[in-house]
Amino acid sequence: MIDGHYLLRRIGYSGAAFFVCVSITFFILHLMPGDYITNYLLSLSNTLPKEVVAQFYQQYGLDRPLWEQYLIYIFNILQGQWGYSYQYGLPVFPLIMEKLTWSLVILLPAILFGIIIGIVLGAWSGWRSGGKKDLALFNFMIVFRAIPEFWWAIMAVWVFAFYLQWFPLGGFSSISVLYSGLNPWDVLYHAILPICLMTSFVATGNYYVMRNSMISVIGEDYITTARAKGLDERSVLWHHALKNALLPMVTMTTFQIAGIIMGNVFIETVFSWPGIGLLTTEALGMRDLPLLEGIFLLDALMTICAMLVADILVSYLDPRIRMGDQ
Amino acid sequence: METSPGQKRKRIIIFGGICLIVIIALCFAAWGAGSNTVAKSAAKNQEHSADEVIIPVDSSSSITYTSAMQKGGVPPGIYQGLVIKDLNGTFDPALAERWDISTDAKVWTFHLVKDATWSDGVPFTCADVKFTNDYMKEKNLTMAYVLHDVETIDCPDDNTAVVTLKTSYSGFLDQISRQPGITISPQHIWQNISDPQHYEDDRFIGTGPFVFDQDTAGYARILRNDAYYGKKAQVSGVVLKVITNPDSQVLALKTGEVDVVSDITPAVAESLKSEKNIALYTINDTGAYEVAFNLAQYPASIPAFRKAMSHAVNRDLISSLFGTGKPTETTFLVPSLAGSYVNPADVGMYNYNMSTAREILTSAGFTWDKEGTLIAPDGNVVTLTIPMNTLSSDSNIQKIVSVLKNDWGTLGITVSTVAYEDKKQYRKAVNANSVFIDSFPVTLHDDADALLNFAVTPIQETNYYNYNDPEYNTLVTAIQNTADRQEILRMAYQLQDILAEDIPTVPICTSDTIVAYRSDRFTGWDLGPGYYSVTDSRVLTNLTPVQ
Repeated sequence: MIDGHYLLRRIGYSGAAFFVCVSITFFILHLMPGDYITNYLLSLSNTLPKEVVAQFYQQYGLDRPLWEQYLIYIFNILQGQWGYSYQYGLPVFPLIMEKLTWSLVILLPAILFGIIIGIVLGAWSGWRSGGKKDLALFNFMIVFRAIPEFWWAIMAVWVFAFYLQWFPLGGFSSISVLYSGLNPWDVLYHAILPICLMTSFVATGNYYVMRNSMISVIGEDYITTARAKGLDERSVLWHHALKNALLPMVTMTTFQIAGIIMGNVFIETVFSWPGIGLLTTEALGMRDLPLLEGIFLLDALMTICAMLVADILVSYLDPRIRMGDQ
Repeated sequence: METSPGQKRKRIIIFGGICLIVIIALCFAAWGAGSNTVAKSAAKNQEHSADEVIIPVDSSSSITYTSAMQKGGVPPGIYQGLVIKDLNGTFDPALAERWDISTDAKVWTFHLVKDATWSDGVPFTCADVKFTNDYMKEKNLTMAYVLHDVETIDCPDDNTAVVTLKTSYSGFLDQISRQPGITISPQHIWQNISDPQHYEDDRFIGTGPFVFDQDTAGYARILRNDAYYGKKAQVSGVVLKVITNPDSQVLALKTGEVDVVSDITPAVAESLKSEKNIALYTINDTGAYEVAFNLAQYPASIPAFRKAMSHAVNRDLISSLFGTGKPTETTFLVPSLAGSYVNPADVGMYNYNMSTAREILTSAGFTWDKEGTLIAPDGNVVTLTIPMNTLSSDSNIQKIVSVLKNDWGTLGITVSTVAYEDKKQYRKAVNANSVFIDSFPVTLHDDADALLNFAVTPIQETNYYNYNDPEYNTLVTAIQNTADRQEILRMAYQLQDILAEDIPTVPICTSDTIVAYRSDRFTGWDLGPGYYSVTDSRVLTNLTPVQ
């Protein structure tokens, strides 16, 4: 169980951790070699006079000392102002939210299904470890995981979208969006293939953790006791072994869900699904600092929240774990 | 407590139902987010017609439009400048139908088209030209640097704009028309906008052959401007579709989802040759490559070393490895584009000849030790490190390096490379080493204006090569101060003579752009050299639907 005072303290620490994360992120991003203006100037066809270059830096506030930029940044964040993207010229927060929403459409179901399938297959495989079916499944998972994600993605597009034409080649809507607006069913149709693929990747990762956890649990005394009580194998699996084997999964899954914020660059690239992953990659390449700061700020927030939730969940799932002064 | 099979089935159905609801809810959420982006819509609810051309773009940032006054993207075919750079070193008229230049190239008089209107019906006048200059400078907009040399713009009448420069500059047209150039913005729209830095346009009122329609959910559409004063487009509209993966772009071309794919590799082009309804064309010399020297570093600071090295570049081999383009035998300009600007006396001066390279090195005081390693006149072993920019996906540069390593290795020079992800770090490394390899658009090497890039002037305080020749700089200043094309041509020849002697850079070869398009949908893509973007408004207005 978790103590109320401990929870309050934990929330306080999380707030402090968030502030430290935001500060470190700011300084790391600003100390990275290169900047947006240099990249832009190098893309031009001729060199510019020094005063023009200085004007560029002044316009983006990059001529100020770093500590001054930092104070302005913190002040703006506290006021809810995330700034404007250098590259897009648009406010950062709505831009991130729009891309994040599109990422969530494929990543949230994929993570949820992947966790469930991974847990079910991992539990079953661990329960029957050493058997022919377990070995077959285990080796299949190894082969599947060993091949890079982008190869599977390209193959999926080739086979299911190009040859069989069951699914679209990519994007998140048909061209009809220009004439009749966005149709949720059309979005769903475009999302199915990337969701299936992402689900497979997430499931294999969870499968290994769950299988190993299950193998370590089935040797415990309480499993022997349950069997000695005369319970059938299925009851022992679902009611005794699985519940205990799930504990390591709780922390893992909360972090997987928090990781959604960073998107998936491979899937988004292959399926032309312009989500947060592609946005982050582009922003990194262009050194779009306000956009990167916004993305990492949200990432830090999600990760810290996930850690907090994981702590609370674990303490409720396993009463032996006590947190605080109890 | 045991559960019955019926209960289990029920649980599974409930669970499956919840999952389905979650997915559908997310799709609806995305629909909500997408609907917000549809706000940028000027003329919706028209049906997709067969004569709308669909072009893939590789990034959603390519169709994220902000405003014409910012340096962010704007839809193609909407805005126009006064002139458009042409393929022969001259300029196509745009909003200026003709222009006069004072003999000292300081006063430029543009005679504007008379019947042009903005897409909202307001007439285009000289006031818009003057406003664009004044507004950009008053608001301190970053793009104002393009007009840095402009002192004033006067409007003696609605159709005449008199631009007075701070100093004489014969390359002014080049400056306002090539990347990024400057487009004219409507006064009646922008005069009421106090914060142009953060203004997000949703109408994009321009004078071009197309008008903005909408951008949404991975698509953007522009429609034909039926009120356009010039040659009207035959296609009713252009749809830009985000397809981030180049392989998927080719698959989409095969299935007919898009009508054209640009920048395909020679291997992909070969595979498409047998495809029905797909045609290919090559735009020659759209890119060029050079082995450049940093004259501030030893041994590149020795002219004889640079001459020897330019004889030790196997341009034919490199070009054959590229698979497209052709070797460049001139000292600087690309003949197919620069035409008569190329000084014939300087062509073929530095053909591939390793014996000549050795002789030049020997006569300049270079020696070889017992192992065959080249020793510089200062007694040190000659090793060259070539900085590479890893962010550049240009595989051709790797091919050049591999050939150089081999050829220069036979001269006793160890060539190594260092990769830099960041462009700033890369430029620092370029400044700290003797040799670098560059690729550039041919517009940098296509006419006399391009020769100004080697000069050091009050406007351009340095250049990539750290090249600073007083005679060259004087000639460049003289070119900037004259508008007489014959005089410019004569001085351009002299400039090339100097470059041929000093060798700040060794042009290697050009590369081509290969384009594949659906021949059953549209014709008219191939406009010849110079028009290397399939979204160039001149290309789009030339398209004809295949009935």
